[in-house]
Amino acid sequence: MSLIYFLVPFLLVIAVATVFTRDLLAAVIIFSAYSLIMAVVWQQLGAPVLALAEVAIGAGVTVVLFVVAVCRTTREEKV
Amino acid sequence: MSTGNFLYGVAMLLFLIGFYTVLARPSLIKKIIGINIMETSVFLFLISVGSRRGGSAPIILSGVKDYVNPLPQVVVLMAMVIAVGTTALALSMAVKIFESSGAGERRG
Amino acid sequence: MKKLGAIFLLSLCGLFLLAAVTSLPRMGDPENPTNSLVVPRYLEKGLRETGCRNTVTAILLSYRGYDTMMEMVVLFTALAAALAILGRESLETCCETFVLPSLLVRMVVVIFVPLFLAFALYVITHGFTTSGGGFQGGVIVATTVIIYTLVFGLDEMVKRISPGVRMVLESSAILSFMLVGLLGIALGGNFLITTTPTLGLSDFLRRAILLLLEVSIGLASGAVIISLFCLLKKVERG
Repeated sequence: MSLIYFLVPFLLVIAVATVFTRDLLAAVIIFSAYSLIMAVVWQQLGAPVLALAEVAIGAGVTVVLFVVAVCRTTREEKV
Repeated sequence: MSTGNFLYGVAMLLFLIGFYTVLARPSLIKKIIGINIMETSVFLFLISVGSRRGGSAPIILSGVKDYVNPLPQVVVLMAMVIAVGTTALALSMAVKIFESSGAGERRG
Repeated sequence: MKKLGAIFLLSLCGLFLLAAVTSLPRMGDPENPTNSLVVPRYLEKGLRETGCRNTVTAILLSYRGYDTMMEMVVLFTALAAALAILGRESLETCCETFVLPSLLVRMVVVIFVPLFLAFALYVITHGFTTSGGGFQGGVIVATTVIIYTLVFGLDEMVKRISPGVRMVLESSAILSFMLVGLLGIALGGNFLITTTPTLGLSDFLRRAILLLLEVSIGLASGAVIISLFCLLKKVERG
């Protein structure tokens, strides 16, 4: 359970990094790291079912869908 | 566990980060990432509501007394799969908008 | 100006959330209302009534089977809407200029794809006793097919798993849920046939029906995700 104390600051930092990265491809890859950390958090909270689902869905499928969509649109974000 | 209401606050912060992304970032793909972050924060909130001090995963074994609440896990599992569908739908809308107007970003 | 408005809205939302968060009961308390009502019944009688050690699977397939069916309907509807926007790929439209990667990459994929599929089969069929289930296994199947597609190209994948086959698989979960559910009602019981104790189904038969539901959920969610990937990946010719 104490592992959560180490993971949660990472989670917040990575979420902020995803938001403020200009390169969309890089943001999507950072988002996949966010999902992986989330999976460990699920496992620590007693939900291994969700950990398995999050690894396959969040870090796998969603990121692939985002990458394909970024390839078909534009890669940099203008502010 | 002695975490108190620590994870509720984390879920709140993640929700606000996602909300900021949806409101203030111009790129459509970034907005969809923001929606995903908001979804995960709601999942985290639901699972931490159902957690139980010293509880183990809800797989029945002899000799184990305390289990965490399985009901939020079912709801979140369904919501995760639906989240993929809605994300793909939003992405296909973004791709269509980009291809028909050449704009991957919101104007104005 | 826009940023200021966003920050104002955020702080307003944050104040409300903070007020809600501070007034919630302590996390993890066994006396919390979430741990008291229907959940102890699921945990105590789930194993005997459904035969699933994994309570999540027991709730998903038996106690809330109606929910799961409607969830598959939602997934199906999302796919239908995405297809209405971008259109399904076919052998005529999805031809892309594609360069095969090196021999090493191809060999690794050829060796590992069967192993991934075997793992997915394990996850689907052992959802009753371990932390697996139809959704997870289906998504692993979809991920394997996506890896194959990224290495060998969309054309090759569409030749092997044609859109017609996927069309059948996408609706298989809803159809099998309806079949099992309406059969239960027709025989004078509850919505799902497995939750009707008066019919006197043997344990083996009940297990087989649950396995059918689990496999159909896996196939359907996998097929839906593969179709979503294909419709985003395909490039119109010309």
